[in-house]
Amino acid sequence: MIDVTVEPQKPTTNLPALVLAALLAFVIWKSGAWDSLTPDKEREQLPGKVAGVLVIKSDAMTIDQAQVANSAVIDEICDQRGIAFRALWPEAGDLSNADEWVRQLHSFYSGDAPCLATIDAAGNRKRHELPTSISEFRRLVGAR
Amino acid sequence: MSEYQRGYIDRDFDAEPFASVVPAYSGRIYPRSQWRELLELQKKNKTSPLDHFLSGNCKVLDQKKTNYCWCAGVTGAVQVAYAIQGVDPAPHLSHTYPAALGKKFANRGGWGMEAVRYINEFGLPTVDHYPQGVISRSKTQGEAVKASAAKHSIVAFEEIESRNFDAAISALLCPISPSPVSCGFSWWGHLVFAAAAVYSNGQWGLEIVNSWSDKWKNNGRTQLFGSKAVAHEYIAVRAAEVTSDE
Repeated sequence: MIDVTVEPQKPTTNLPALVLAALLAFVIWKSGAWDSLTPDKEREQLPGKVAGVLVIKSDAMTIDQAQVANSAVIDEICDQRGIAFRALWPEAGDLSNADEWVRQLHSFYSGDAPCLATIDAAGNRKRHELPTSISEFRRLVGAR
Repeated sequence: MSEYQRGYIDRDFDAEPFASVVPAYSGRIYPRSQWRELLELQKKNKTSPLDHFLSGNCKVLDQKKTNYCWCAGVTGAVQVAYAIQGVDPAPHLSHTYPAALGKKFANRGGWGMEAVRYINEFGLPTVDHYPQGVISRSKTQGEAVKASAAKHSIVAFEEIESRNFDAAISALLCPISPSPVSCGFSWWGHLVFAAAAVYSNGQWGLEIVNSWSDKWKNNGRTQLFGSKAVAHEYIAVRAAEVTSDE
């Protein structure tokens, strides 16, 4: 006969192991090690590294924008990071011999000058407002 | 007697009037009261043509035994225009090619606007296609030198009125679009280009880049003040075409 008065045994919880696992997960997440474990195809979905920067100047630039657009410093920032750099006016003359990426960005965005246009290795283009400081320029081209 | 050649001949403004070949300078002429502030702004942000000359690794030209300073000074300023547009290193251009073709291979002096006309007509090859300081008809032949010259033929020049020192300083200090300026000096019989405005001991002057190689003075440069900084002919180089192999 089955004694129905006996309570069924409750499943036991291993609390210390759970806390330890949670702690381990937190440490891995916090250390950034998780990124290195993420498959490449997921990381490819992030915005690509800037490969080329075109500054398109205009008479409508503010003094702060003009100081960035005319600065030898931004050229050096790009040079040090292997980013191609050009600065042009909308009326740049004959660009038939210019690099393809320069012609492309100029033809897309010269009507929106002043601006800063970027292109990544996959050919993705983006227009930004012309920055008003060198630090803002660094941020836009991913050069921290 | 100097070991260096010169060659600037005072331009006859009656025969070739102001702004008859290229447009007049379109930038703003800044009052002297604003120059110190503009200079400080330029120093802080490294925006002078001289900053680009240095960071773009522009070469000091060498006219050697020729009298082609009038073309070398303008060509030096064109190199800086490339550097300002981000061409790094800026192309090392041979001023001797258009000068020799324009003068039909005679070693003669001239003025800046002559150089502008010859650059527009013949272009500027890089020195690996035509050596600087060598006048040679045979070296102007061949497709390679012509192709190289054609790649550097579209340059936007603007002219500043004769002896208008304030306009020349304004072109150099302009916060929107600073430009190198070629300067033909009557007192020196020589044409060079100015890469920066300078201020010292209460006087304004020009930092010039010569065409006597980088062995001369401060890596080919010096500063001129007072009446010596006032030129008979000024030409501002506003922009140059960007080409694929630079």
